[in-house]
Amino acid sequence: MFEARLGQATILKKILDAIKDLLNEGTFDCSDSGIQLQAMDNSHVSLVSLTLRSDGFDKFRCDRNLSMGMNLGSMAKILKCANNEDNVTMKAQDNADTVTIMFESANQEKVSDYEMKLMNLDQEHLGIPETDYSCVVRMPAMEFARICRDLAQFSESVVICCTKEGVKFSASGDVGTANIKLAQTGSVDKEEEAVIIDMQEPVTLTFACRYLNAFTKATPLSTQVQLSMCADVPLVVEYAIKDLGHIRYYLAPKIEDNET
Amino acid sequence: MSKKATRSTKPKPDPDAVPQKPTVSAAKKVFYIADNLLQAEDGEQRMRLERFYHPGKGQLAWFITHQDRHIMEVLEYAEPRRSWLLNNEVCSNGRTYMTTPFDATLLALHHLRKHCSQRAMSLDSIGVDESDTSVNRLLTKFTNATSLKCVSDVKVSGDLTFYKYNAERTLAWLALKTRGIVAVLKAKQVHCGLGAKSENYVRSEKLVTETDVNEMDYMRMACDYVGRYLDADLHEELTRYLHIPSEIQALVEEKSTAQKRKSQQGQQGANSKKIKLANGEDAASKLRNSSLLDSDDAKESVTSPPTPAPLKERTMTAKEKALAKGAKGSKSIASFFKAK
Repeated sequence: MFEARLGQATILKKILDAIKDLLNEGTFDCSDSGIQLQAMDNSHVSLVSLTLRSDGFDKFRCDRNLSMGMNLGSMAKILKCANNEDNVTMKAQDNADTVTIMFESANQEKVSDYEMKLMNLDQEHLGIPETDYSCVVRMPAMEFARICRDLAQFSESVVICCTKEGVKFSASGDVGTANIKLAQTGSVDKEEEAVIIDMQEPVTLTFACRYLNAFTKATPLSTQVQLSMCADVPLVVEYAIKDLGHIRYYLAPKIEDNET
Repeated sequence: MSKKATRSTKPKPDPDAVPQKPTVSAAKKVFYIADNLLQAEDGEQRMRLERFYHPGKGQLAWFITHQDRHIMEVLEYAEPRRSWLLNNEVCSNGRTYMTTPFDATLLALHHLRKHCSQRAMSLDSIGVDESDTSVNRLLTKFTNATSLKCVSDVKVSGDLTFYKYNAERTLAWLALKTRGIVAVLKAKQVHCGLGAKSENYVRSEKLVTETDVNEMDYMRMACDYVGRYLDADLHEELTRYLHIPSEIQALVEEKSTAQKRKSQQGQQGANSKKIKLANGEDAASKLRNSSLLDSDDAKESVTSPPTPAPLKERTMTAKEKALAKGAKGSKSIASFFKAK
């Protein structure tokens, strides 16, 4: 028996919105420590890793480890049926081929449940090695989304260059070139507006802009985003989900800098 | 029609009156012969066993003639390991011979086509130069003028009558015969589709629709019956004349469209899925309904479109395409992270 209950359906909605563009389907691996999802996008360029800790749920029960393959588009459709303030409960029997998603309004006057067929997805899990990243940038998630959106107009690829002066995002294409530089904020009034750069050594990497833009779909989940970079290693874009866990996106760097 | 039914409806065999075939080693043979013919038999009006050229078999075959007027086909039922017990004697040859009245015009047709397609000839001049006298005997004795008129142009000059083969008339006449057989098959509710069907198993509510659908099957079956007495090329002509699609042709076409569907996956319009025949009938659907296809084939053609393979190759949305385009030039993430 598996049962997980969240106080607000809106969080689950946001999570699904954050991953459904990249992934058509995914396997939710449930254990007593929580729910995990790891999957590559269709082109096998990026990897999505979602972790929801069991202690972040209002109620969490998982008698046996359970893998639920879901069509994420269908799941998102079901979650659209929930009001933002609704309680949401996911339920599944051991060895079941369906999952039940139940929404309860705050005053318990309206209860709706949706049953969805599970899929048998044969996805292999990738082991992500511990990496000591050369540069770790923390910045407002909205700012990162804005930069990615703006630079996408100029080129398919974005060069991220991190030095001790700050972090520079640049793109060049037919229209011209664009450069956005962010310096570390001197005095931090509000933590969520800070740009913090933790640099061991400078790094310059090129990434596909469309993927970065896909990652920014997770912006509503968190005020801050963390970019971790190291030469010849995938970029990590991490959004923390408050009190619950995080979403990490891994994106392989582009091989040639000037290839558009 | 089962063999048993035939036996019970036909006159009983009369062992005493069994005519003997002189040339075959087995001494006695069992024939089913109409009673009145046996009674009429006296003196020189005996029945004779003769060999004529059978166009359907492409060789000489046995026929029984009576009073130099009637000709009867001899059908042989040869089942292995059968013997007859006649009086106190065991006959090792357990075959049964059926005699049925026969239209000699069908036999004459072969000779008319062979000799009289270019010029008109009198019957007694056909085949005179051949060593086999059976041709001459067949044409002069057993054919009748009214029937021959159905398959040839007749020219009379004095007391001589000349015949010239007429293909159009022949086909019309054969088509008439075919339709007659269709009527009989329908009246007897003979199952004409491919595959066996139990006679006493009746699907009442489906029967009406099935008879409607099986029209072409009846036609094909009847045409094959007639074709058994025709030269192979004439049989083909008749099939074409009646617009009967051959089973194999229909099956092959169905198969090829099925393959097309698999490889081109709905890129072509609905047109490619249906073969329009000359008579405007949808062969594919007809074939499916008429149980001509083996049930396995039918199942395959029905279930093949929603197989999982095409589902995976479904067309990508614009977003997905854009993402795939954006992925160009990037390494695979799997080259960094190894599978656990």
